[in-house]
Amino acid sequence: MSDDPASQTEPVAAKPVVVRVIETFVSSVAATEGYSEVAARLGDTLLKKGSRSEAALKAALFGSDEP
Amino acid sequence: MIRVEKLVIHEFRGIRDLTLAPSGRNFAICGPNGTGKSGVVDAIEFALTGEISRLSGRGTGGLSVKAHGPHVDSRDKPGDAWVEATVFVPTLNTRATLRRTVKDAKSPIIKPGNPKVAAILREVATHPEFVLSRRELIKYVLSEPGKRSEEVQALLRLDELETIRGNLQKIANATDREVTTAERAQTAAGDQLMRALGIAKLTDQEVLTAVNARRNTLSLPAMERLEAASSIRDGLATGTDTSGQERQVSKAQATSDLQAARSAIAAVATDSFRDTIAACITSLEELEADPTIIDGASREALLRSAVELFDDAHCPVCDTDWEPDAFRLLVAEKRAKLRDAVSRRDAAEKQLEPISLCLDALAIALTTPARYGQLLVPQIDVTQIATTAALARVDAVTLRQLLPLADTIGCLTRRQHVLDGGALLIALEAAIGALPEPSEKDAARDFLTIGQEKLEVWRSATTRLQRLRTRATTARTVFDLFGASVTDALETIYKEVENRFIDLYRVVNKEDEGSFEAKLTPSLGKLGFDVDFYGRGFFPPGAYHSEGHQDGMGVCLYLALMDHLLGSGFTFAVLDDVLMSVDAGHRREVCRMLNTQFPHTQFILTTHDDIWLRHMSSEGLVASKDRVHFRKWDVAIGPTEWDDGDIWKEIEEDLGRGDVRATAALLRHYLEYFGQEACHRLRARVEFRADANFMLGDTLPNAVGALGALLKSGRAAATSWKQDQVLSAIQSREDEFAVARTASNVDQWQVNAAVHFNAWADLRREDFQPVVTAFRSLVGQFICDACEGVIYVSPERGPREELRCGCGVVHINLKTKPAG
Repeated sequence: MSDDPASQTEPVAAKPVVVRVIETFVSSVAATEGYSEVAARLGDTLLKKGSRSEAALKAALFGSDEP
Repeated sequence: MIRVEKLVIHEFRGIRDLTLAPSGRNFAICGPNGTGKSGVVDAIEFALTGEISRLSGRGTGGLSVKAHGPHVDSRDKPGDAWVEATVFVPTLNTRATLRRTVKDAKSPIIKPGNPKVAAILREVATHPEFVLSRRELIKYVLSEPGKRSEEVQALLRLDELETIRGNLQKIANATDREVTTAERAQTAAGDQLMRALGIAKLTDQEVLTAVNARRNTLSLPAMERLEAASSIRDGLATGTDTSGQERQVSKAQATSDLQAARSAIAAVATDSFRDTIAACITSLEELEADPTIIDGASREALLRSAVELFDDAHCPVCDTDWEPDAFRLLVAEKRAKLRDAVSRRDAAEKQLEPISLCLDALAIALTTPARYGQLLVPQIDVTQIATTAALARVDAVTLRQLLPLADTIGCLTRRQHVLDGGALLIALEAAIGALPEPSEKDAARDFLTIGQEKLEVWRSATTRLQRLRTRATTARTVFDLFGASVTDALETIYKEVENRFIDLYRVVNKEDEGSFEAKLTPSLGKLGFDVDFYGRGFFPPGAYHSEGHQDGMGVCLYLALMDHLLGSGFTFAVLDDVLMSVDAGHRREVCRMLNTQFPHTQFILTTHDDIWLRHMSSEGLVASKDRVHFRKWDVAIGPTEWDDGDIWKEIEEDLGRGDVRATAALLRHYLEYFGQEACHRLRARVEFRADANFMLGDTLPNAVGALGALLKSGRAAATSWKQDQVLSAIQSREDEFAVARTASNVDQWQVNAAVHFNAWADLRREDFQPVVTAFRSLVGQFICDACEGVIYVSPERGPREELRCGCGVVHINLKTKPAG
């Protein structure tokens, strides 16, 4: 490491495992016909907001659709 | 994520007051066992996470941060025990101070109150794995595959994926159940519609035929198509029929409903239904005979609730304080033991479900005719029908609840008796039968009105079913995609970890294992790990490799995993004595690997081996200023550093008390440390010892000799360059050095009984004082008055160019002017 920590820039490296797996998952949902909106909501929930809860996932799967 | 610049520890574990300044760079903590290194590691972990893993997990029952985090003398004052870390956050290019007290470990005080900094520190707090101890190291290498899989998955935070998978599965299962319920509701609605229309099949044609016949009676135009919004009452005026009883109860509809009720009653009176009940009673009685099974199932349900209700601090049942991981581990172990009981309970629930469904149908079929009782004139007492319907509903719920078993068995036993449908419905059937037949037009009007009501219910149920089926398909599809994605991604990731591990291990062992290979093989719940042994095949790491090599593998695998866990966020790690066991021949390579492969990661390294510390320094992993050397630990004062400047004060105090024994011991111990340090810094020649166990006489005379030779070289260089002032300064220094050297008698070490042979017993305070003074003066010759650092030769290898100190005040050129 250089002596001045402030001068050190972050390397461009692999993302955390969980993020990489989720990105793969969201991509595969997006590639499924008719699931582009679901994929967008899942990406927002799991990657942007970092939510993992059942309620958040339910909202991502079904949007505003209530049974 | 962060780098640690400063650490202030107060009344924490074995430390009273200690300040360390890693300054965001690699930092080493060296000292014999029991001198306080682990206390510093605990303090770092506590500051950043609020936890001390040494006090949690397996085999630490009864230990807790709150009770055992403070110094033993402050154990009743957890508010006085605190650690403060000043950290640098590279991504925000900012610094922050985080202070955490044992009393309020979950709520650190962070300054400045920048939400982005707070978010990063919260993230750091979720990564206690930045501390790697030797105990942790072994589990990655020598565990059996199932355990290794658990450990690696825990390190890679794959539990997050498991949480997502579990929740997606829950949602998919719940939507499937909703579809099942909606299908039952739609079927029931369809049955009622068919009964109301008097048709056998629910097709558009059958409906239109039945409807148009009545519309024709009422002179209404025939319907050609049945569309989603079509009303079979279309064109029918309201209020045109006769008022009264006939209007409230359609004889035809009531008769149809009573037939449905009889069918439902008959369904619970069949032999097969009774056989099913008998089989269930037998199964439940077996469960009841072994209370451990059902107790186990009940306990499992309680434990499941306990985990859900746990607030990360207290048991939800008894309010006992718990460390979160310890609580969850305990509950998980208890739940695992109850798995068989849960499986038996699930089987019983599955067996009871068909009975519950029949009782649901009976409750619905009896509820409609029960309503007719009050509409008829005179009214009919339908209490028994209503009670029977209510009881069927309650029984269905009881069976689904399963517990207590006695209630469920009682309910089933009651259901073994055939329901007397004749007695139940006879009065109602008689009253309905006695109703006057409606006119053809009134009957047609009733038909269309009731038919439309039933049609709307059926349409609503159908629409709902379709929506739920769509939701269920979405949920199941996404769940399946998640499973496939995780499998694919993990295979890729394990391959990458494998490659990274191989690369790192090759850097460390390039001389003898430059073609090293390894295989990480994930399979269901297991993670196989085999390594190449000198081209002879793949074997488990513990099979043929030495313990040191295995530890090297552990370090490399940990680093490869951390790279994948945190990516660019892997900026900080504590290696707690883990390098100690790496083969001596590979330590320099380990230092080089850490330096070259992880240039953006700050390592805090602890070791009890001075030689190891020097390797770190000479390989540039740790700068001379970025290390602390503990010499002893005392319960009252905590760790004491060798080079903290207080050593002479302590010696003088011992001597002042007349304790020559303690003074001599401390002086000798310090000189042993100092002799090695000075030899290292001045590149003195020392007789090699494979065990690195150097006595005082092995090093101090050599250090003194080396300093004398270096001053002589400096004088020769100054002469060659004709630097008169420099020459004069060196000569002056040489004169002082000669006096100190003579006074300490270090050149005749073998006869210096005062220190070397601990012949203190015959000495008095005034006899020993000159010895202390002489050695203090001698040690002073090696130290810069300005920066108080030990002077050293630069560079560390190759031709000696300079004798200098850290601040540059001592600066003696050793290179003579080239001839000519």
